[in-house]
Amino acid sequence: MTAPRFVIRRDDWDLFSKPEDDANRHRERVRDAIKKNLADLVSEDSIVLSDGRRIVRVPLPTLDEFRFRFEDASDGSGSRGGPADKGAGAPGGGGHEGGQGPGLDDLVETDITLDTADAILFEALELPDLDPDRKAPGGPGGESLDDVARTGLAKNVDVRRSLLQAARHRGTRVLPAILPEDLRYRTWTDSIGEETGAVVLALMDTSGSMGSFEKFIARSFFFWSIRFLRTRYPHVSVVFVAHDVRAREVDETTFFHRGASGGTVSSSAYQLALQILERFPADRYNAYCFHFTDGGNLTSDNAPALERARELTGRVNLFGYGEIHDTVRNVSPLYAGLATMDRARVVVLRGKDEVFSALSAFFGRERPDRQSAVGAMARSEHGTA
Amino acid sequence: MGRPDGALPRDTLARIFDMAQEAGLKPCPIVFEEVPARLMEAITAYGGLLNRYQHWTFGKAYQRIRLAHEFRLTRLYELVVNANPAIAYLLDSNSAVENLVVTAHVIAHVDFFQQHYRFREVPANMPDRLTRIAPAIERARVRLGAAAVEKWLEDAMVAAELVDPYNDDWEAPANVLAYIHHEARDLSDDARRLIEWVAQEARYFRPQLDTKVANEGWATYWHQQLMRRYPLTPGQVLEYARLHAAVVGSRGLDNPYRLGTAIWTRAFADGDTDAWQAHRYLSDVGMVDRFVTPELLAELEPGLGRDEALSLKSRLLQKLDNAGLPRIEVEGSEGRVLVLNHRHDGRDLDQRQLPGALMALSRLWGGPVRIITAVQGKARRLLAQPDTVIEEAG
Repeated sequence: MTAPRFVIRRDDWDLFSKPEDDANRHRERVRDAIKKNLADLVSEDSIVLSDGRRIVRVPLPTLDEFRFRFEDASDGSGSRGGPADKGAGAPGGGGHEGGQGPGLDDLVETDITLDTADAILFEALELPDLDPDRKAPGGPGGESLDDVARTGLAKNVDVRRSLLQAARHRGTRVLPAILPEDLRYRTWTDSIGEETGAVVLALMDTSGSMGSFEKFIARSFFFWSIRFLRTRYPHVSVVFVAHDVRAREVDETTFFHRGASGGTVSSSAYQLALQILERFPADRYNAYCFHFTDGGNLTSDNAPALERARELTGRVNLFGYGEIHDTVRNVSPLYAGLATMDRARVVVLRGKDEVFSALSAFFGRERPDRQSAVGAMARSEHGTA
Repeated sequence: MGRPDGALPRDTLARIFDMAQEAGLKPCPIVFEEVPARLMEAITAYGGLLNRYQHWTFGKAYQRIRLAHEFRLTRLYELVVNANPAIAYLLDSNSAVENLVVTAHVIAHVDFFQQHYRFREVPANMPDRLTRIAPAIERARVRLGAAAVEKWLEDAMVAAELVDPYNDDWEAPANVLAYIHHEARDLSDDARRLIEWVAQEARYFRPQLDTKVANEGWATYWHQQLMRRYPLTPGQVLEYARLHAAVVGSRGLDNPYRLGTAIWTRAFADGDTDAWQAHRYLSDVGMVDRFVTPELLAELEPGLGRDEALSLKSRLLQKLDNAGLPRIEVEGSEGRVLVLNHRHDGRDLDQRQLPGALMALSRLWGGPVRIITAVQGKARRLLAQPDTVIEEAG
């Protein structure tokens, strides 16, 4: 008997998940790359205005597949789509596909919208509300925020749901562009007071030891944490406090650009923070206080600072303390003291890529320890001004 | 089982096989697998080999193909895997006429794989081999870690393109990956096996890259011939004509279906013997060199002058040379440094991608890699370490 010339088959592929698994691995890499580059995302050249929409050019070198290719003479961009780009090599490989239409090389996604970046970043974050007895209306916990509508205020766009909608409409899960019809808005079932919201106290050490690197880290952190809080609260007020040996309430520009000088007395900032909070009643404002410093507090101020900090943690939803180290050294006594307090979370940041780690440490869903894993080192009594 | 309108009827298929064999095509047995569009996209991403190792690059390709389909840029009707028996994936939503055309097209592809000399050395059981290699890759994942295996595969894919398609001796200068595999000092056995595997895949695919125009042209030429002989209803004739026109497009040389069909039409016009000889022995460069005349180019690109046609032909030849890839060859090793030479043919290397590609080679090699190339007529030497690249003084 001779072998048949052909066989016709129809198999059940429902359980064949490999392509999806590999696609998920790719998406995971995109997410990781965005997280790693968070700090770069806020720098001015990486957030650009494009067609009136905010597009983030994500520097994702690890996502590119670099090959030996000819410079593409036709468009001068010299990046993608040399003659052998499609088909050559492993990914496309070969096979003989019958089809029609232009190649796929025009579709690349190195640019993403800021909203998309938000969606990816904030997926892993939640609002810490460490005191379950003190619920501010419309605040964390957010049952009332769970409803979704097709219309609403721009600031209440539910990015994840909009993305999902876009993905459904276009049958893709690859960071689709969101069109107007995809937009979904968070909406409230209960009526809430106009004033309900959150206040962020941004405290920064501007003493002589704080350099541009430290400020850059702090700035990146505040950029994203404020964006994050705005997705959860209708109103987010931000109060900037700069301090060296004295603390002052300043505007944003001064906060980030003020020349650094002097020593460090952190208790002055905590004291001022407590005074400022009197303007934001606890029943209407969820309070978040963040302090960024290099940890070089005046030794004699450590005890008063920790005392003020303990008062602050009794008043806020979260006290986040970020210690920025440009060299490898031990954490400060402030760090060590705060690490033991309720509602305080402490992290050490050593590089731009750790901004996301700080965000997760403060807002992350999964926190085995109150102390962040980010560079937490042995405590020591080291640290003077 | 209820079948939609497009499903493949056995007697129709038998009839097309009869006609194809009568015309002289000699396909091996074919397994036709009707699959949903989503799976067709996945199959395309894996180059037809669904059993390939897991890697994010395939996932990325899959997403891009899906995206392109969403925007209706492409439609895939079939995909043929070179094996014996051959595997032909057909879209389960193909209409009856689409399936007629597509099966005729597939039979010609399979004939090409069977008859062309470039495929003689290619293993006929590639899908089975992939199934057998899977446990070895799993073991490597356990021993080296998933991230390390992912990186080894990624780097090997870069180097695997640098092959001499006609000589798999590691000493042939164009076999860069084979040289690294043979000469690198610190490769673990696991890493060595991963590299070997990626190299085998690249060798499997390479003849397809060198015969893309010839093979697509051959399949399109023959579906055209067979459809002319097949008794179609007037309505079917119209549907077929639309489909064929969509495949070959309206103008230009970038579409291998269009260029290839024109070449084979010319070849058969020159004489059957020549055409059947070419079908066994010529790859894309040979086909264009032999059959593309200024008259043929003028047909494809109306309004073309004779001088323009000649220069267009030489550009086309250059574009098809070495499967469109730059020729990069091993000069040798100087101490720990692997030295490569780019055989510059007037086209510069893409300088944006070059550092990344060199670093991949350096990671495989386990030491520095130097390349000697030229940019805009000036010599350029780069020295890559696993994660840095520096420019060396000319």
